[in-house]
Amino acid sequence: MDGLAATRSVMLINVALQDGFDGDTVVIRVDGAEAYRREQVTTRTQISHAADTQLDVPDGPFELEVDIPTRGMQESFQIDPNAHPNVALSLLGGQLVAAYPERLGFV
Amino acid sequence: MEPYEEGLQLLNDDGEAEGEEGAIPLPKPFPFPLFWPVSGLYAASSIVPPKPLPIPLDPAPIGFHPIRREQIRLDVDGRYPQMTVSGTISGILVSRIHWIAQLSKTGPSRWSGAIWYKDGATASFPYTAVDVTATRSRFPSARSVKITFSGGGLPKRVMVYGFVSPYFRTVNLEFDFQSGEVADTAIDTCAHPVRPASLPCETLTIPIVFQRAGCQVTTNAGSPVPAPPGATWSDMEMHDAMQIHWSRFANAAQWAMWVFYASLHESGTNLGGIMFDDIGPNHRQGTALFVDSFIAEAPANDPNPAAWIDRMRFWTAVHEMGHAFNLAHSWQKSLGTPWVPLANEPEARSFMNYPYSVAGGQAAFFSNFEFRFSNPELLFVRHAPERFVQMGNAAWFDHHAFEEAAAPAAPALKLELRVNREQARYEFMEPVWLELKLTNIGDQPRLVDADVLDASSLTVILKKQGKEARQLVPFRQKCIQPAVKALMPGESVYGTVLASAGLNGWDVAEPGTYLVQAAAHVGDEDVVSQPFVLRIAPPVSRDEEYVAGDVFTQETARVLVFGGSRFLEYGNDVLQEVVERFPDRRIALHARVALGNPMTLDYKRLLPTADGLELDVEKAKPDDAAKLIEPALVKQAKVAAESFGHIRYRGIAERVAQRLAAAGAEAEAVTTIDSVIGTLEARTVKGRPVKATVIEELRETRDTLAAGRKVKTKTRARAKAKV
Repeated sequence: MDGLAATRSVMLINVALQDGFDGDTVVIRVDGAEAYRREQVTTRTQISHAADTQLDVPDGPFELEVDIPTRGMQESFQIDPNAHPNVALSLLGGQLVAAYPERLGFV
Repeated sequence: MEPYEEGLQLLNDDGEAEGEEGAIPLPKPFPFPLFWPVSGLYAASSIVPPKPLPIPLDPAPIGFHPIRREQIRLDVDGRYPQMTVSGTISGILVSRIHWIAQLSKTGPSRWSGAIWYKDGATASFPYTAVDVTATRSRFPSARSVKITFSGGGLPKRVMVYGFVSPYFRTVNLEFDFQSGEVADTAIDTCAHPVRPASLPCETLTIPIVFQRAGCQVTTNAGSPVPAPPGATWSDMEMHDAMQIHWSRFANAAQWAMWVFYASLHESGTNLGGIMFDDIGPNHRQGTALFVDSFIAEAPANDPNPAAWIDRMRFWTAVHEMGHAFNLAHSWQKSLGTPWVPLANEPEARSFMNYPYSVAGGQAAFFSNFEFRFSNPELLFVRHAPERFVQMGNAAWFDHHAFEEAAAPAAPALKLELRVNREQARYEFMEPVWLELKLTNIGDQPRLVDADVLDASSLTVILKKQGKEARQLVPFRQKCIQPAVKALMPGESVYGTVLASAGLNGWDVAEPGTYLVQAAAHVGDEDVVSQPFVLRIAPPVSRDEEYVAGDVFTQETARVLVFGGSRFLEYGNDVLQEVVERFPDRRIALHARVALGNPMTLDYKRLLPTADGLELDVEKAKPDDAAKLIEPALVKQAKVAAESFGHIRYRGIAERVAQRLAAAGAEAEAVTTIDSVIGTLEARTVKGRPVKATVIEELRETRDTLAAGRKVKTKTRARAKAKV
């Protein structure tokens, strides 16, 4: 994220991979730049949690691109980090869906 | 152990206000008798003897009580009524019948409705509707419920049940805590200003929450779990702690759970609690909450942070305990294998939803949260089959999995599982071949798939006593052009299935008692057999125990199920050892046939060569084959007929005889068939002789072979159709 930091002010968002993951590879890009990659992502259903991370993102609307090559899925979300500092990604009904909870915590 | 008795008023304080949550409580001092609540658990009354079910269940195996017990759970008044009645009929091993009906009020203390859910031996319970009449009384012993079952093309069945308890389940809770922490299980519901305006102010405890969910709660005194300051916990460490510190710990399903108040999970502050017990065979017995995690971080500017934290910890503890009842998160209801098709409830104000995730966030959640579970969750906890709910029983997230059998109201087909022996007892290592009989019991012809009873077409469930049920996964999946057969009224088709082993491994192998149930699929209809109980005897020697490790392998199973192989050398070696070391045991009969059968024909194999593959044909060895097979099919014919089962015994013998004849061993072929005829003619099982047509067909085969002619009939198909 050095390039991003050098050109724009940045902030952190929290991203959680929640329901529906089962041995998946997940790649997340922020405005086209790879920011996160993890393999063998699997949900523990009792806490609806597979993985979580913090990402440096622009201090303004940006595109969060999520690629799940193990399922041939790719989705993009326009996110304003000031309005939605928490992003929860789930595979539900064959689709990748994003939710923006007030905070991320698992029980 | 301390019983929590909130009193009937707490569970049943809504009088006749069925279906009306939050109804105004009726005046208490002079309760009119009609207003005494009726919800709760009832058992079959000994005063009115129950009428038998229309299709008698199998006899109970020795050592099990043949008494049929019936319980019903009537849920029409009191706290959060679900307008439901459910029942469980049990008494033989685990072959239960479980049913659930939705109710509508039809009169004073009277309801009726359709049975919408069935589980277990559903073929024994074809009813489709219930009519329920309750007798109210201030005296529990005078309360009763009469249920008239109807539908399914059967006469009505009337049962009367006596009152047992105002609760549907009984559960024991133990709250232990990490040294230095406190297991606080109570909350002042009005301590925080953000709450429903109608929420009663009270000191609410966790046991009371579960009482209101329909459970009678007992608790054990909690005790500290030693841990150094700053310790964090992994799931495995908590599981170990549970085994050591939980006074009720057992590797068994039981209505009990351990709740652990710890500081933090090793994964950090983002984990507020977890039902950590998806470890080992008995899931959902242990839960934990992490009192120093994010649940102890009140939102900025909260009007009463201390009360917020208390409430969040309380909510988290109950949430994790809900998972121990196999409740999923509110937005996960449709995921995995729900016990019935469920809709997600992402906005539910339930203990099972995340306050932060609803529209409007946690403030919106708690402003409408009434410290309760949702109605679908209450329905599950109160009325789902016990094994889905009970801690340590169904695996986590499983049967939160059950697909209801599509059983018709008036079945026209009947499926029977049976064996050709007086008692379904098997020697150790003896392969368990079951016979299936599908009969048209209706008055109209039915079209069935020609392979309806092939192992690959059936669903066969195997359950060893005390273990989880497993589904048989046969070695062979047929891919054939579909063909149908018209099954006339009264006509039957037959099949065989090896229950011992499949792609899952050897599911019926260890000594013990097993329950087997099969379902044939005819169109959209599932024809479910009665549960069938069999026993495997223990090994008779240490030698058998040693060899069993080699027998209970995939390769040996494949050799047995496919009737031999010249390719699977390991399996052949094992079976050869069995023949030599255990000649008098029944496994040796199966081994002899499997070893000899491939020698009866020219055996083709594709062998790798430097240039690719080469077809190798190994010539038949009829003399060697006869030496192996004759001791099994001829000299021990009676035992073989019993151990292989009549259908398989006949099929094997005819096939072997034809191959022997084709290889020039006509005399051996005729001897084999003569032995089959003599054996089957003399046999009766439970007073039932072998059909005369079968004997006639065998005689035709014998005559044809003796005359040196080729048998034209497809023997296996004929055997399956007639025996």
